[in-house]
Amino acid sequence: MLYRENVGRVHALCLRMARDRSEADELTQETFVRVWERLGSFRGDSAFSTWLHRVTVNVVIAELRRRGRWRDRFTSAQAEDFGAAQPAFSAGGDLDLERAIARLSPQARLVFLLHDVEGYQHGEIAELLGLAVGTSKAHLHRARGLLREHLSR
Amino acid sequence: MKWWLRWRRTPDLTPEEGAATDALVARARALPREAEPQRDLWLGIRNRIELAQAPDPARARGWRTRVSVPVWAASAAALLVLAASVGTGLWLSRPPSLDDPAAVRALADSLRDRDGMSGMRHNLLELLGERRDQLPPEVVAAVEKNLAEIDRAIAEIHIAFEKNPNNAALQFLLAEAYRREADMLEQLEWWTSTREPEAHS
Repeated sequence: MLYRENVGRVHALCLRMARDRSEADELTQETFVRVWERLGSFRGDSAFSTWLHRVTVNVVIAELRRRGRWRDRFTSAQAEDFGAAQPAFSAGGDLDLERAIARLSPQARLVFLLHDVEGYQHGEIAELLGLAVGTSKAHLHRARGLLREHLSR
Repeated sequence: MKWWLRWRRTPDLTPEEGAATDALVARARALPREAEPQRDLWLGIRNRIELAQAPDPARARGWRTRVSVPVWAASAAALLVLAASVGTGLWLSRPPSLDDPAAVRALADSLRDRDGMSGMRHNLLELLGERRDQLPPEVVAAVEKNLAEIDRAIAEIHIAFEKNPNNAALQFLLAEAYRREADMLEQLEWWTSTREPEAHS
């Protein structure tokens, strides 16, 4: 079943991007509803997993925008809060890195996740997030610097 | 050069920072890509799909008003539209395909219990015959019509399957068709077993 085969991948992506478990649950559900609605438009030009991944990213970003967080979080230069956020993944994997990523500002976190974890190019990220390519690069540079610093402590 | 190393040697990085960035990106690439949700999300997804797909809410609402038929009526109607789109070739003209053979096999495995499904269907149809008198005639007619149309859709999916046996979307739809049919009949059994005959007159 499509859901069973892909829910782990979709949920992981939602969890890292949204950083909140209940919100990730909602976004995962929204993604599969969207997949169902759009399955007929999938032409097979790319792998199904690639298409599903893109749908997931679009759903998360659209939802962040819809909830009004986008403007607040993505247009203002926020200082990273390295004291409050919790990691998206509470068990297994690289918890130090997960924790550090979770503490990045939303814009830096999303660019880092999309580029360094998920393999998107800056042009794609800029299009998805509505940023200039240079801004995406700047966010990545900043995110990497903060993570290096945090992980070296 | 790996794609993720393209940005490691930005001019303002010292060799140490560059090495640390390489290590950081390698760790990022090694992060787990899967995380199962802590609760089953499928029911919510299914309900939302059914609500979104219901083609004739007025009719479904009318059913519920008259005979308290639950959501399954709208669900079945939604399935019919979807299944009919398969039968008419709407999906076949643009067949989705999965790139993961394991996913295709898993979908095929979900269909293996077809015989068991058929037996249950037979039993429930017998039950429908036995309790026909307890049901309003319009419900009996609607159920029989829906069953016939689902059967027709299933037959058409099977025909499409013969031409494209590895099409995951068809497998998914077929499994869904069987499940919806079983759901409808199970709901019918529950409905007739929990109501007094005079309540339907």
